[in-house]
Amino acid sequence: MPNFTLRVNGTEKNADVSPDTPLLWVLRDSLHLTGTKFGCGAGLCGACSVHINGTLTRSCITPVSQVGGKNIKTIEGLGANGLHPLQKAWIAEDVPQCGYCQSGQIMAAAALLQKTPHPTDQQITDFMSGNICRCGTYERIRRAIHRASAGGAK
Amino acid sequence: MTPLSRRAFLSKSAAAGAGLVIGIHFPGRARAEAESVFSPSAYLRITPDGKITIVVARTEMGQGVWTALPMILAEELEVDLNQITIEQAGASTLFGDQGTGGSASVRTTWDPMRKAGAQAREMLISAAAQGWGVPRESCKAESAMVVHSATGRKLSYGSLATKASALPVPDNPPLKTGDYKLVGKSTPRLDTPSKVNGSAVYGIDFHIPGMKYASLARCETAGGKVADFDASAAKQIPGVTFVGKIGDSAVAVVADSTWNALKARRAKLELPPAWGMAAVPSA
Repeated sequence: MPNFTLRVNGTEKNADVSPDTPLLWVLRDSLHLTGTKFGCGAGLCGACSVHINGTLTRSCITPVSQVGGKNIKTIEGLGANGLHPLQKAWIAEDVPQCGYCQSGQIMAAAALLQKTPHPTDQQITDFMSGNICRCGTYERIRRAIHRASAGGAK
Repeated sequence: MTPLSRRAFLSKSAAAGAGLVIGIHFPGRARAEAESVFSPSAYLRITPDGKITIVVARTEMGQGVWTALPMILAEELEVDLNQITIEQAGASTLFGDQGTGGSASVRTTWDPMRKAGAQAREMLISAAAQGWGVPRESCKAESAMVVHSATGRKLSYGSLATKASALPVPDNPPLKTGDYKLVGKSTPRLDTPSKVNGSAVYGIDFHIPGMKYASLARCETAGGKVADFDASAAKQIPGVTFVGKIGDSAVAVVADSTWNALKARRAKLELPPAWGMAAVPSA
């Protein structure tokens, strides 16, 4: 099988997988970075969200053969020094219930704040609508994004 | 595939047990460490280094049992929530029914968790009182310490663990009837930090070296049965090691990775007429 070299959270990693393997399964099965979750496998729910060269990407429908040489960031590498402001806000607002979708939610929110540091409610709704939470934590997610965008104060 | 011995599986499972995964609880370990670990019940362990581990025997599915159940035990034990470590119980006969559902976890675990905390507290107080040579009624427990109020002497639970483990476990320890410090108070979930950094371990995250991955193709009609299937196409997918019926309601594909198992199931097995289904039995 071909060997792929990936740059994940700033570190070079190797994986022996078939070229059509989605990045999600390389992260989870080969590299044991299991914070990124499998939800629908069809790019519809957002649980598998990661950043590729800073762009929010559904890793479950992104073949590993397309991501060589690009910078891949997962929930495990989101905080450069300790927790990212969004992760601190998520704790402060006690956002997760079951938690399964929250890695994807946080990665999506991080992509939003990168482009729009102070989003309105409508901008949050528009940008985050691709990430589904079956527990229905949407209102706490909204509060946490506002909290992080305000620099922790609210 | 390298065969994995039962012992290796158990030890790997236990090593992974710090998260939400279903592990294996084996009481033999508690017995082997009985000399130094204070564990008057399966719900609690206190080691001489002061580590206080509360075991949750229900499954955390977002309903909050990783917070609520430790609160109940910690209330009677007289420890603060920032002084405890939480551990997921594996399958064991020690806990009775471990099924999780029906809003029953708090109702049915309230009594055993309170009793486990109170038993340990009483034994720790006795151990301290005996060491000081004072009546146990003159001692009280607070924040993982036993305090002798008259003289201001204090001993940590960890320092009392070995002595307490030699004492008999009381059958009916006194339980609080009010003045709760933790119970009834709104408390941030204790598992939230692990759910915002990707470290929480869900069932799908479990990993042991050499493990295989299975994917099931199920009958598409309720009550339908697998009549026949053709495994030859699925077996062409690299990494597929097994294709076979599970009972008569599903066909399992086993492979060396999740992707190969999914690919073999989706691309080959579900394409008609690769497998057939018997008619749904009429009611």
